[in-house]
This record gives sequence, structure tokens and C-alpha cells, in this order.
Amino acid sequence: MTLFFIDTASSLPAYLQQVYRSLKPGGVWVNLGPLLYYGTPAMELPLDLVVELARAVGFELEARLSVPEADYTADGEGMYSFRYHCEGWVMRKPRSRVLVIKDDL
Amino acid sequence: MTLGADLVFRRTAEPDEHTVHPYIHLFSHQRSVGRMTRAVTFPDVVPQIRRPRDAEGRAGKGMGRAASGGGGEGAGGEPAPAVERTPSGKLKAAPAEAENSAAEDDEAVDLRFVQGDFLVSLFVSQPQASCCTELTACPRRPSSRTDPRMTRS
Repeated sequence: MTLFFIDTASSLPAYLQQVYRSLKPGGVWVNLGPLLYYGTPAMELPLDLVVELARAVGFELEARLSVPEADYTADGEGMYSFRYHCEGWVMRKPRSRVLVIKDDL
Repeated sequence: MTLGADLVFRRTAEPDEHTVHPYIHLFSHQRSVGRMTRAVTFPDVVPQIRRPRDAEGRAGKGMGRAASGGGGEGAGGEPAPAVERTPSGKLKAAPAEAENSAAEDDEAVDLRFVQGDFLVSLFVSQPQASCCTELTACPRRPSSRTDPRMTRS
């Protein structure tokens, strides 16, 4: 489970590969959060390409999640608030790895 | 702001004449490459005062008000500027109180223009894209992130 996390990666492929390696075959990865890139990341992909990259690593997409209005560190009684429109997904590491070479990435 | 006002008020002849890509500079928070690189055109109308000029090329005194005359009435009780569509399809408009501007030259009229006779919307906010109504958090909740519906699956 990774919440508000993957956009902290300096190398997004390394993050996704580490998540993949950490899971047992058949294991599930649930991710949700914004894409606020900061620091000096090697790549800053838009949402659709992050999903594509995860599938290229080997994950199978099972469901997409969306939390359009996620308040973030706000004083609910104040006059200012900040909210992300979070996106996420449920992905599974296949039980039997089938090597797929994609040349369209 | 001065450059932007000059572009819109003095150097624009057609609606949607100018094109910019305002979202291309930020990689964060993007949903797709297509949205990131999308173009936006402006302005939706051409804010312009056209006045007939005399033989010396000077603007006439109080002449050239839009044919529709005194202008409509705004919702707040303030008179709205008269706007009409010319045969070429462009919008031309007259300030609501052009009668009082007899002694003003073009420059003065344009300044009045900038100061509030018209509001020009350069960028229209995009309708919010939410792809999952089932998980939409209610804004009245203290915190959407603690919504118990998020924890299933």
C-alpha cells in the first residue's frame, strides 16, 4: 500500500521495480495519491504514463481509484484549504511471469 | 499586465486570435501528455472601441457610439456597455457613459475601458474531471482522506 508516495521517487522505474520485487507472486499493490514531483526526479511522468510504466514493469492493472477532493493539511475552520485530486489503482503481480517485450514505450 | 492589456485591447482583431499552451511548463499533476500540451485560444470576444475619425485622422467628439445606443442594464442595476455584432462578425462596443466623454481622446477612452467597462476572460477554467463518482468524497466531511470508503479493497 503506497499512499502519497510514488511522486517522491528520484527514479520512478526503480520505485516500481522495488515494489514489484517486494511482492509475492499474486500479491496486490494499492496506490493512491497525487503526482507532485519535487526534488530532482529523473522523470516526471503524467498519470497515464505512470500506469503504462507500471504495466511495463510487469504489473497487471485490476482497478482504478479516484479521490477528486482530498484535503491536505488544512485548518477546517480557516479561510484557506488545499486539496489534491488523487488518482490510484489496484495492481497485481502475476503468479506466473510472462515476459512481454514492449517496444512502444 | 501592461503587455497583456496592450495585446488584447490594441492588437487583437479577431476572436480567438491568439494561441498559448499554458499547461506545458509544469510536469506535476498532469493526467496525460495530451492535456499537458493542449492549446488555449483567447480572447473570446474582441474588446475594442471604434470611432470614426475626421479628415485629420483624429477621433471625433463623442461620435461613433454603437448604434444600439444607451446600453443594456446589468443585473446589479449598473448599466451594461452596449455591444453589437458588426457584419464582419466582430464585436464592437461602446462605453456605457460615452455621452460624458466628449472631450476625451482615444487614449482616455481606452483607459476607461481597461479600468472596468469590460471584463475579459482570458482563460476559462476546465470542467472538473472526475472519473469515479463512487469514491467522490463529500466536501462537507471534515477530511476526505479519512473517508472510510477509501479503505476497502
